[in-house]
Amino acid sequence: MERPTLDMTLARESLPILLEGLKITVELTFIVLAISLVLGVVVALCRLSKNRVLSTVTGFYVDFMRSTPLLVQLIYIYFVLPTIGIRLDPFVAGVVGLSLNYSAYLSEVYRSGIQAIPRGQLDAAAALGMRPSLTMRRIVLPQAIRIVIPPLGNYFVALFKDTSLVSVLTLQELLFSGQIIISRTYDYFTIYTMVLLLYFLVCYPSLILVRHLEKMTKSGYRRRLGPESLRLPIEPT
Amino acid sequence: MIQLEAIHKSFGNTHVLRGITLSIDRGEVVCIIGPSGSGKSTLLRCINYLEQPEGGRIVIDGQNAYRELANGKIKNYSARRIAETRAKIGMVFQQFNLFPHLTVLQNIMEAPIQVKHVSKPEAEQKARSLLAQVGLAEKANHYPEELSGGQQQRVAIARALAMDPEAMLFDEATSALDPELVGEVLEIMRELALQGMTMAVVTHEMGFARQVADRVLFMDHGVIIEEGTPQEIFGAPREERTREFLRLVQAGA
Repeated sequence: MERPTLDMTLARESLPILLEGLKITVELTFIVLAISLVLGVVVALCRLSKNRVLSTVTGFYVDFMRSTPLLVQLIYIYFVLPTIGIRLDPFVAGVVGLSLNYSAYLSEVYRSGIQAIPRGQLDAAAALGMRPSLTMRRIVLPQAIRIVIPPLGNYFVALFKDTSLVSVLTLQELLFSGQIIISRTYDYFTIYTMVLLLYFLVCYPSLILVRHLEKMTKSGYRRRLGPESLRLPIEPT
Repeated sequence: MIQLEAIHKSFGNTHVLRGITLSIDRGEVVCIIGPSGSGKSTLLRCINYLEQPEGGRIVIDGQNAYRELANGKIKNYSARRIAETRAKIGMVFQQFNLFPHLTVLQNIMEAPIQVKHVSKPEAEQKARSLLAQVGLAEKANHYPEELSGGQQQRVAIARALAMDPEAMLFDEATSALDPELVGEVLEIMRELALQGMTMAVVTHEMGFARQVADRVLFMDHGVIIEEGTPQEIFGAPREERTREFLRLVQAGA
């Protein structure tokens, strides 16, 4: 069997098509991320709510999403929902499937962040006459966000890679774009190497960034030394 | 100003408060002493309903606070109403519980602005004057973790005072402090007492109780064993358990 070699001509020809696919992958990632970041908070708050029905229903939703494979969820949304009259184009199906899945996972991240806030913070806020909703908004969430930033960053990278699953819905994101070229040229080696590298080139810097964020959020709350700390008290009126 | 009647509270199978009845008048300073696990802190936390007793009545300013008895069942008031009552009573905690994501100034301004809807400039002016009162004017823009324990506790006192409370609860406010930092916090508490603040103070500082309290309660195993003026409690305790406790504490001091 002959040794595989990178076909540089093919690589050069394919790059614009793959970059076009990468663009779809990036778009998909950011749309799903935006939806899941918001929906995840809502789900987490519902799960922690005193309302039994609300917390049970959302709890089951989260468990259901975590107990079934993302790939099967996507296939179900794209191929099975049309039989009951819900027809989504591949991009929308991908957004819906990934968002439902990631909202569930992110809600767990938020929930653990919220529960990590010490009881004393809630006591102090309550003793000052703050109601639970105000305490959540002004005291708990601002502190929880700091705790959840590193895990959210990791989920961002995971999401970027998981968008490749949407290729089975014939969405021309990065992986499926490569598969289309391969169906024409049969050069698995060149194309899949490029696909792999493109994922790596985006994810690796993201990972480094996440690691940096992790360090930053661990360093505690301190004054930023600079013009800010020299700010004069406001004039008495 | 504050009346507790027959308060009972359990955690699981542990009966922590066994029928506490207590009244604190306006302007009075009541110190609660007793061995750890005697229920002192739980009692204090019942006053602003951070703990919800299973039985008993809490009356503040002559009105049922937090809940009422309807058809033999305890019915909590709305969260809004509970919060409004709590806002009238300041509390200082053993672990300070400052908000770490806010500066010292923001810690003090937060509740006046968010709860009492005081304007920002007004809240800031008040916060700065309270900070000056506790001797920390220059720390306004620091974050809590940049301060020593004693400084944090002084900020926590200023934070509670910013709500113009009618009474203050101190839950072992100096127990988490290094010995050399205890004095600065007690000094501020003493000043507050002199200004006529109504105070309920759970403390292990017998010197403070002796000098500042109008009345001292000795608690053990969830009941008030003995109460009286500092002279009575420290000078001539009637109950054997009080005598034994004081002997142990003073031997350690």
